[in-house]
Amino acid sequence: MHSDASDEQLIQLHLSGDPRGMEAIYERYFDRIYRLAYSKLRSTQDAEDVTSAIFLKLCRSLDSFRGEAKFSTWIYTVANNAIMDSIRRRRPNVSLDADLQVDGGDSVPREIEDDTPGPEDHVADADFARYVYSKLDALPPGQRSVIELRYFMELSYQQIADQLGVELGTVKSRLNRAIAALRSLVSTEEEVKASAFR
Amino acid sequence: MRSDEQMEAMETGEDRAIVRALRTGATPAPEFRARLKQSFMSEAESDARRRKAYKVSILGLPRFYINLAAVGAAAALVLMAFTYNVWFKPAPTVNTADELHQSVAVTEQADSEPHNMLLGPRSGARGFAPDAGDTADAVHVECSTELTDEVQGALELIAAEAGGVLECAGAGDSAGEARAVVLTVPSDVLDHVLGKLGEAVGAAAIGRPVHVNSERVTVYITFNPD
Repeated sequence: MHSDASDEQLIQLHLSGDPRGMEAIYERYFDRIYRLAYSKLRSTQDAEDVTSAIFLKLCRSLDSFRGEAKFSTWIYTVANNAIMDSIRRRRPNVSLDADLQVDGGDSVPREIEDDTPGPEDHVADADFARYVYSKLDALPPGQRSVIELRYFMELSYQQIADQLGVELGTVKSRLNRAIAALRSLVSTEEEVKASAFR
Repeated sequence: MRSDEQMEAMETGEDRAIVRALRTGATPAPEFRARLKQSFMSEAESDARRRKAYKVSILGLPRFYINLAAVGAAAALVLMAFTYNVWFKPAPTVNTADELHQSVAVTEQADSEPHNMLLGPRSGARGFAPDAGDTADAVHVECSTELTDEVQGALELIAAEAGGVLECAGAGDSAGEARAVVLTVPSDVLDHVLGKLGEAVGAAAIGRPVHVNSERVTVYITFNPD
């Protein structure tokens, strides 16, 4: 019904007292926010928690949306802040380099729990996707932002350029380099699947 | 700069697997989607109702407060209408009638006292002169002599000097009956007139006047040789 309306029109619909505006916003942004959260948290439970928190506070947060930027840009910022807060709360201030102390003063290297699936574990597209997500941390921040805005938030190149304050060509070249970097980090899909079936 | 076609080729070419993984990789559980939507819509409907209520208010104030202000203003208008005479009453003036009544009461009290007694602080004047109206100050003078022609001539002379009027008030034809005359003089020469009376007729008792601020003073002179 409101699928053709712009984000700003949907917001205005809600502000005028019609909740159907926010319903359309939810349908439009739910997957995007969840993907963004999952890409950084890489935990289904944490991604769900953060996504819930973002949407449940979205209505009241609308007072801070002044329409100076596009809604997609605004909600991306809101979501990023919520995700970063979640990461800060989740991480204890313990150095991963510190060894565990055992009786007698000997120390043993801490085994870092890594729930990132390895290539041999991937037997489906979803697993391969999680594997790709796990490699995003290896990208420079500028390239990662372009990936997030393009493939998670589904913005156009021009919208990404506006959001990041860079030239359109810069966006395209960053995205190209980011994909190339991921390609080098990740084996091709066929190779991953083949390694999984070996 | 890369064209859109080049970018599309990149996303659909050899890197399509990575791009597809990024776009469709993390898929939320349908149960979570439905559960969150239910909670979210509950919040959205509540927020929409709140915003709708604010929208119809003035200056962003809730409708409740607007209604409260309107009722208060209406009540104030009704109250002012009923208390118009209180709010818009003319400034209070000196209650002349009360003051005059008080002065007359003091006069009556003074009359009941010995005539040679001066009025002190009980005059009730309290710093302002009461309006005498039709009331004139009066002084009673009693003489133990008879009203002879010589005395009457002296009285007429005093009246003429003072600019007053002399009238006979009582006949006194029978023996022993008192005779009286009434002398009306301006109040500013009263003391002088009373002094002359003492010399001319040998006044036995002179009552002091009650000052009601009249322009003229009536002097009642009674001749009672007994």
